Amino acid sequence: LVCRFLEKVVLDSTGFVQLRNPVYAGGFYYCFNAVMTHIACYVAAGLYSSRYTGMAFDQSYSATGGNLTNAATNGANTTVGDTTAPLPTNGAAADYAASSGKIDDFTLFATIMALSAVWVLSFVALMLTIKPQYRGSFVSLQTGGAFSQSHFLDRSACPHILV
Amino acid sequence: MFHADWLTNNFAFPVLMSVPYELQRYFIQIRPIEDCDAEDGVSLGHILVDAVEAVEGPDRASVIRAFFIRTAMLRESAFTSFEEMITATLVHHSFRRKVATMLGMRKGGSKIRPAVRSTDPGMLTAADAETIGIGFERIILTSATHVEAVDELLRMYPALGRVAQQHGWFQPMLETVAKRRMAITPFGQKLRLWIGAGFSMADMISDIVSIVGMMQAGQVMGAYGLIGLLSASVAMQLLFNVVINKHRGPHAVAWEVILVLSLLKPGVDALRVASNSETASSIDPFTEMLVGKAIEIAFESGPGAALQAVIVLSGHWSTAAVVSVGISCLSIGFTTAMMAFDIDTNPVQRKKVPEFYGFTPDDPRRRLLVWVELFALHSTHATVKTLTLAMLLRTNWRWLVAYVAGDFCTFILYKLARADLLFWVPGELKVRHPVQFPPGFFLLFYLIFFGRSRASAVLGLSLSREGGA
Repeated sequence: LVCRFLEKVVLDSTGFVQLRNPVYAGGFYYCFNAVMTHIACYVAAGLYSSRYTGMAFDQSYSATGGNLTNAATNGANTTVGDTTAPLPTNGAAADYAASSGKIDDFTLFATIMALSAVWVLSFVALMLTIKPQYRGSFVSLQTGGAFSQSHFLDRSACPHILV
Repeated sequence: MFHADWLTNNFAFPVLMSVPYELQRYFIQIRPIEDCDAEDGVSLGHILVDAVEAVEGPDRASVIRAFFIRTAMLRESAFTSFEEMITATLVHHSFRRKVATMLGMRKGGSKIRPAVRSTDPGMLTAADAETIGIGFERIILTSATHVEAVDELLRMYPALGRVAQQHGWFQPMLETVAKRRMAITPFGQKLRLWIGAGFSMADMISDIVSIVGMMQAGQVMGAYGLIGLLSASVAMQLLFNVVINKHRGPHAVAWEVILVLSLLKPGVDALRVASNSETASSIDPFTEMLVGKAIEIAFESGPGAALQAVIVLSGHWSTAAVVSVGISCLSIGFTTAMMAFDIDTNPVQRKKVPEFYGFTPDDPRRRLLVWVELFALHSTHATVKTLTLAMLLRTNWRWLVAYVAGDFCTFILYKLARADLLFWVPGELKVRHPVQFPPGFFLLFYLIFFGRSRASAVLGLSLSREGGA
C-alpha cells in the first residue's frame, strides 16, 4: 500500500509517463488520471469562481500578517498595534496592495484552457511521434501480475529468462 | 587545495606524462590487431581524439588520415571505410552544422542521404561511412550517455554491430570517442544539463524574491511557509551530500556544504556530469544530480508552487510569485521529462523490457521532438495539478482533502477491481503483502466530511454528545 501511495503521489504531482507501466499505475489508469486531473481542475475553477468570495485587503492582511489590521478600511494607512504605517507603494508590495481579492474568471479559465490545450496537443503529438507499437501501452489494461508473468513466459528474444 | 589540483592537471601532468604518452601512442599504433582488446580500444579512442583536437578546421581530416595509416588495428580492421566515418564525425564542427545536425537538417538544404543497407562492413562504401559518421554525430548530440549513443549506433547500422562482434576493441573505442565529443560539444546532453541546472537555480532565486515580496506585503505566513520549504530542501540536500561524501574527509564535506548553501550545487552537478568528471563520492555524478533534483521537486518545487499558487489565487499576488510558480512547474516538467526520456532510451532497460521501454524513435530529429513533447506534457500536468490543489484549498480545505482522498481511493479501488493491488516489484524479488482497509476508515472519512447528523441518519446511530442526532 505504501508503494501504491508513493506511485500515486508521484503520478499526481508530475504525470511521470513511465508510470504507465502495468507494474505501476498501468496505461489505462495513467490516461484516466491525466484526463481526471484536467476535469478536476475545471471543477475546482468552477467552485473557486462561484464559492470563493475573495478576501478583502484588510482581512488578508489581518489573517496573514498577524497584528496588521484595517489596511483598506483605514484608507491610506495601516495600523500596526498602536503605530500607523503607510501602505506599501513599490515593487511586489504595491502589486499586492493594488490587486483585488480574487482572480477574475476570464483570466482563470483562459489560463486553464490554454494549459489543457497545450497538454492535449503535446499528448497527440507524442502519440504521432513515438514508435507505433508502443501507443497501446498508453491505454493498456494489462495488470502488473500479467505483465510480470508474460515477461518471463513470452520472451523468445531472451531465452536466459524463459521459464 | 583547488589551485594545486588545477596546476597539476594543466601543467604538471602534461609535462611529466608527455614521454609515457608518446610511448603509449607508439606501441598502440604498432600493436597487431589480433592482440588488441577493450582496454586498447579505450586508449586508442583517447589518443585519436587528442590528435584531432590538437588541430583546427580542415587539417583534422589529414590528421585522421595519417593516424589511420600509422595504426595497425585501424588499418587492418574489417571496416574498410572506418576512416571516412570518423572523419565525418570529428571534422567540420561549426556552429551552424551543430544546430543543423541536432535538428536533423543537412547543411545547405534538406538533401536526404540514401539509407545504408549493407550489413557487411567490408562492402560499405565511403559514402555509406560518411552517412554513418554524420548519424553518429547526431546520436551523440541527442543521447544521454556515450554508452547509449554507441548502443544505438550499433543497432541502427548492423554492419557496425558485426565489426563490434569481430573486434573487441571497436565498441570501447567508439564509446570513448562519443564520451570525448559529449564533453566538449555545447549542445545535446550538455545543453540539457545546463538548462536543468538553470531551472533549479532560477527556481531557488525566484522563491527568495517571492519571499522578500511577501514579507514586504505583510504576507508573513506565506513567506514563512516558503522559507520552511526552502530550508527543508536545503537541509535534505545537505544531509544527502554529507552522507555520500563523509568518507572523503571534512574538507570535501565542507566544500559540498558551501555549494549547497550558495545554491550553486545544481550547476556544479551539471558541470561534473557534462565533463564526465570522476568524483570520489559514493555514487556517480549523474545519479547524484538526479537525487538532488528529486529532493528539490519533493521538498521545494512542488509544495512551493502550490503554496505560492494559493497566495496568487487570493488575488493579492505579485509578479514575482506568478513567475516563481511558473518556474517551479517548468522545473518539475523538465526534470521529469529528462528522467522519462533517459529511462526510455537506456539500452539496459530496452534490453530488459523491450515491450515497454523504447517508444522513443531512433531518428535524432524525432528524438528531440519526443523530448520537447514530454517536457510540455509534464510541465502542463504539474501546473494543472498545482492550480487544482490551490483553488480547492483557497475555496474550502475540506474539498481539497475530499478530492485528494477520493482520488487515492479511486486508484486503490481500480487496482482492487483489477485484482492488481499487490505491488509486483520489478526484478526477481516478489513481495506479497495482503492489504485490507478497515471498514472504520470509510466510516471515519464519512463522519469527518459529511457531518454527524447525516451519518447518524444513515447509520441509525446517535452520535451527538447531547444524545440526539
